[in-house]
Amino acid sequence: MNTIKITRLFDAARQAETPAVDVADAVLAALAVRRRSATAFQRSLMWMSMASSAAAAALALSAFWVWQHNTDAVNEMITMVSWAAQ
Amino acid sequence: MLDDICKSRQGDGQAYRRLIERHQPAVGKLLWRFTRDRADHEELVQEVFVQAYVSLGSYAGKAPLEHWLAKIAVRVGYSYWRKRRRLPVPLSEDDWRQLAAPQPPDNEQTAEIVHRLLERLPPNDRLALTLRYLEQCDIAETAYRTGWSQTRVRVQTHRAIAKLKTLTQNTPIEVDW
Repeated sequence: MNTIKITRLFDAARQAETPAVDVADAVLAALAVRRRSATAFQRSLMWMSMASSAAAAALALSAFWVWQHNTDAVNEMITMVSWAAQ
Repeated sequence: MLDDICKSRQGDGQAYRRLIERHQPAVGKLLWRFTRDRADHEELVQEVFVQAYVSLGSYAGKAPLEHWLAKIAVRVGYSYWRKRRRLPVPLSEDDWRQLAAPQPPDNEQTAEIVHRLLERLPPNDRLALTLRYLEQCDIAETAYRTGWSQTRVRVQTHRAIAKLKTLTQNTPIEVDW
């Protein structure tokens, strides 16, 4: 039976050629895409926060208006009651 | 080179291009141990440089940049192995006879056969043998690249050798370590 040394195989494998790669363009393009999508994400967050602020302001205004409206009616009733009592 | 690292951190694409061009042969050579598929190989090299750019801010400059990149490359290659667990093709009798022939196959063919042989091991064992015997890293360097302790590197290598011996037991030729 023939014998081979596994370490000899590793030695030979180590000396094998490696294909050349040139990934510079692809990497820079991928990084540009990442940067663009990060910017787009930040922009969408900004728009969302602006929209929610506007909605919150509108809600606050309408709540104030409702409160004002109701308080007037209550005040009127209190005045009437006090007149009647007098 | 430090200048290029600083400029790259500030977003200078040309500086990062120079870094890529300087280091891609070494990263490519290392990742060729993880895949023999050219398309996958190129994708892995690309992934290493994208990840390196993203974490360039955390590079403290304690280790040379090539060591730091090698560490990232090992992580990328290892996760590639874990994600793409293909069914390994067992070596045929012809492959073994070819290896033991008086006129052994050329280095390319031997590399291919060794790759297929190691493919049959679990990723941890394969990584230990790849770094220790194909990359010829010492224990400390293997520990740095894998993030394992030195004891774990020793144990893992020992186990991997034992598994490899078992795998080569029923072959038409005797495999000696």
